[in-house]
Amino acid sequence: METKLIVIAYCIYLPVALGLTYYVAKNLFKSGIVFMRDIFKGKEEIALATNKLFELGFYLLNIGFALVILKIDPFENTTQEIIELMSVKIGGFAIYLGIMMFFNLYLFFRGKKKSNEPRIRPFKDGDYIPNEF
Amino acid sequence: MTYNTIAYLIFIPAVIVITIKVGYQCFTYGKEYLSCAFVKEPHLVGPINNSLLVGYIVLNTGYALVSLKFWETITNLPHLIEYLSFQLGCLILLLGVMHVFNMSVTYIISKRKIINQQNHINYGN
Repeated sequence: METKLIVIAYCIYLPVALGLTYYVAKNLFKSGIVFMRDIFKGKEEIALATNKLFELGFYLLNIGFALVILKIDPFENTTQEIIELMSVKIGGFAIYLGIMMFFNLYLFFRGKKKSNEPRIRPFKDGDYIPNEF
Repeated sequence: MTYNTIAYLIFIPAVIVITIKVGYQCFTYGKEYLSCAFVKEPHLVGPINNSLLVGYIVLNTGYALVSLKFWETITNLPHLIEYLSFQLGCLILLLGVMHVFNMSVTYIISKRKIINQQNHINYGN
């Protein structure tokens, strides 16, 4: 009975965590493409590619983290305790996802700001100059 | 069939599928970056992209398969799920960290390149 409870808890946690990641990533990068178009100033292909690569990184980091923190260690195998533990775990993961989402949004806004500044500074001593220049 | 065998039967296909999927995503969308980096030699983009993909797949699957040797003995079903998920998670997390690192390196290199080009235009170095 005890082992079964834990297995049920895992079977609930995994779809919830993966589904949450999918939902957040889908929504974040649906709006991300708009920022990317702004940042790359209409260069459609590279904007799409960057958006996709950001999405890939987001998925990899968050799914990896969700799988790594899966393990729970119940003290006494009661239903109540396992529900509490799972709830803490899912809630913690949701907060982590939110922080990652805002970090990504921060990157988008920073990129937008940076792309409006001219990327040029005066030439200094010690700058790397390739041979062909 | 021991629990370890079941774990291996799940782990090995999962690793191979994940590696190849991620590799092909990077292959498709990284082409754009490579063609930005090799503006002067566009014929090099395809071969470089291909060899990067093959090298990445071989290294990653190799690492995952070698790591099977160091697994502990699995005793019951919850342990199976925990351990399998931990191993897969570590692998995916590693891939993610490498990916983010690569993207930041690409960003830094592209910034430097643009600054150099601008200096070249402005100062004629």
